[in-house]
Amino acid sequence: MNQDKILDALNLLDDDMIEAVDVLRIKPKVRFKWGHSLAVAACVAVAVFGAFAFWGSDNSPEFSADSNIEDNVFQENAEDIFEEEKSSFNDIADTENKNNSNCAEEGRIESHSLAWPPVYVEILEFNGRGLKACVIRDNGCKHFEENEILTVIYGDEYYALTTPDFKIGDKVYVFYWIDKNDRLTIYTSDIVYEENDYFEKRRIQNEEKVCR
Amino acid sequence: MQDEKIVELYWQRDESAIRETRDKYGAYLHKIAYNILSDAEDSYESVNDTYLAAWNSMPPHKPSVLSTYLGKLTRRISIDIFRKRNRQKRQATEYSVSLNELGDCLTDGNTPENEYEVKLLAECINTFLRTLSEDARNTFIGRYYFLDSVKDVAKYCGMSESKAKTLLFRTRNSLREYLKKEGFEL
Repeated sequence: MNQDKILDALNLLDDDMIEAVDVLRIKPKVRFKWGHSLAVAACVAVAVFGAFAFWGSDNSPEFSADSNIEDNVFQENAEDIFEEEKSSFNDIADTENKNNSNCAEEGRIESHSLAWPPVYVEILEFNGRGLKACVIRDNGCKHFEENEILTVIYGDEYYALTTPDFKIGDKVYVFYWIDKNDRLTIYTSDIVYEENDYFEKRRIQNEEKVCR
Repeated sequence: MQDEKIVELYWQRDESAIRETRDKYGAYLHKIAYNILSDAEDSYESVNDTYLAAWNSMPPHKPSVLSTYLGKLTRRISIDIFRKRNRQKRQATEYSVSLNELGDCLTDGNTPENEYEVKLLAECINTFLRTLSEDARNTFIGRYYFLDSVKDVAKYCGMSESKAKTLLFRTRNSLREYLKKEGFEL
């Protein structure tokens, strides 16, 4: 058996499957970008909120003569802004949860949400395609056991490579997705030192995409 | 012109069938050929050979979807040209020239046993592809039948390039396991 035989065999594929792809080549599927839409919605929400805050000054409380007006406005709105940030983090988590349910239908499980925490590992060695690591703590992820050795393959969106070098012996969080039939090989879009770094990175990237 | 009318022209041995085919499917067939050969001249030769093969095969064939039928002809012809071109490239040393001469003693590999094995393999792959999700199937066919780049496949399947690469990787692995299970020697 060699690849020539497979190439020849592919020439005998059923016509209906070929026609389905032919249709796509003429009229491609539109890719719905969840992150992009959420980022736009978040920007619109901030703009609307900002407009209300600016024009709603008739209802603002009286400030003492000695206080700095800017400080008082900041004080009053800080809680609202904090709530805004929390809700955009929750939006990201909700999106990831939705992606998880889509992935579950396809037979994958994606760990990019609060429901599926990343696994905490110690890096053992690097190779050209990824790294080997030992699970220190399953972090509640339920897919890996302590002391299990994992093979991690980098996804294309491997942002961590451009940040401080990871070294053998480093302890990091690995966000993963796996095939239900192939649990030993995991892919990652991100490896980070701190769990919250992942969500912050995603938020910044989404904002950058919107502003471009 | 509709496919049925073009096929009718072939059956009537009307040479305008070739012109109609070229007008409707010329670019489509050229793209398939170019994906394999990456050479404009060879692609042109392949597409012209396709028209000849279509003329010689209709009748008796009467395809309902002409694009798929012609696409298969072009693909097969282009792959044959590619293999022949590669064999000629290897004629750099006396060793390879001698090997090539000895090739006259052998068949071109298209033995009945070989063809039967390819048919069995095709049936197996067809069954396997039908077990896949739509996305996995379409990316596989786009990449390995149409031989489009991963970037193009990802674009028309409506997914990111990394997702397409991952799907292809997993599908290849699953196909390997499936073929092993079905008794094919790998």
